[in-house]
Amino acid sequence: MIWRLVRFEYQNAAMNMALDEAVSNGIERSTSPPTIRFYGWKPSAVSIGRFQSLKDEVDLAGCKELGVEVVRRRTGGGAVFHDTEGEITYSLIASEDLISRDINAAYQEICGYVVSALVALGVEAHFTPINDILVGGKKISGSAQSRRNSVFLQHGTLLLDLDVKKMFRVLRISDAKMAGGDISSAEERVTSLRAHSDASKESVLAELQKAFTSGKQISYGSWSGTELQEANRLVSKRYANEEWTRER
Amino acid sequence: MGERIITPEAAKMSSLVIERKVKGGKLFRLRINKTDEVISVQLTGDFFLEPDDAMVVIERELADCLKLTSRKDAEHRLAQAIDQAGLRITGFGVVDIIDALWEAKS
Repeated sequence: MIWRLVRFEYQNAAMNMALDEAVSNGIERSTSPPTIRFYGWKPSAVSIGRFQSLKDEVDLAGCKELGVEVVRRRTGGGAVFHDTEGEITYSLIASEDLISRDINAAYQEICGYVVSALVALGVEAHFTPINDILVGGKKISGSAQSRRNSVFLQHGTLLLDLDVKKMFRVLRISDAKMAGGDISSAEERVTSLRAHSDASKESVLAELQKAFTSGKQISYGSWSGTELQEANRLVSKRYANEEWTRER
Repeated sequence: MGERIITPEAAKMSSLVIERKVKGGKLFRLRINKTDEVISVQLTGDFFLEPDDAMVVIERELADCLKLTSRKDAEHRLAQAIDQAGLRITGFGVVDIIDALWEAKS
């Protein structure tokens, strides 16, 4: 099995999510290869989980003021602030039969790639079920999975740098979710690579690519015309559609 | 035991919001809205549900469960509906959600 690796690229929020779904649809139709991609968000964006309430999770006025986009993911999980310069996002999309059927085992395997990359950079990282990676007891990476029509998708983030003030301008973080619910409690619970390593973004990407592709046959590639067409359709139909974003 | 929050705004609107953070860190909110004689339930949060378009099944069952008097029956009904529809929830269990629903009833 040959996996496609799409090198780091920036897209806007709707297109990032649409590309994940377009590849999933392509794999379902046997027209897309299993794919690993690394990407960033330009402009910065908030993504919320499939079942989250937009008004409970996002400060829309703050987003507008800072030019931050908002997108509802098709995967569950929590709200994430994707700062253009402050994180790397990955997706791994493949036929379900290439991945463990057990949800926790699949998280452990794929989050394990991120842990391996961090360890290679000299950062002591640990996977914590269900879907987090911690450094020094603080979250540095989160992820979300879906399995639809026999296609597996996991996407996740690695925090490179953390602008907590900006994060608090765009996210509403409930007291129940984060004890105290203020900036100091966020800083006690979340960390970024910058606090533990001087590694450049390029070297982080190199280690991530090495970890994700180890033991796999890889072909470097980009999007097919069909995938881009499908992604543009999904941008209009779903990810840039207010009805979808405001569904809950 | 998670937290229970009933917002004053929701109370005026014949609505009730119950927020729970469950073991493992996932958070969910139940919004129970009453309009005339129609009661609807909305479930939101950072949990996982597969398939993702099956939330309507759970929310419909939860509204029906509000009419039951036995908590055990409600748990059984929701568990059966989830099982029959082949749904998979990660982040909380049937007991957590019926527990929140029963607090709303009380």
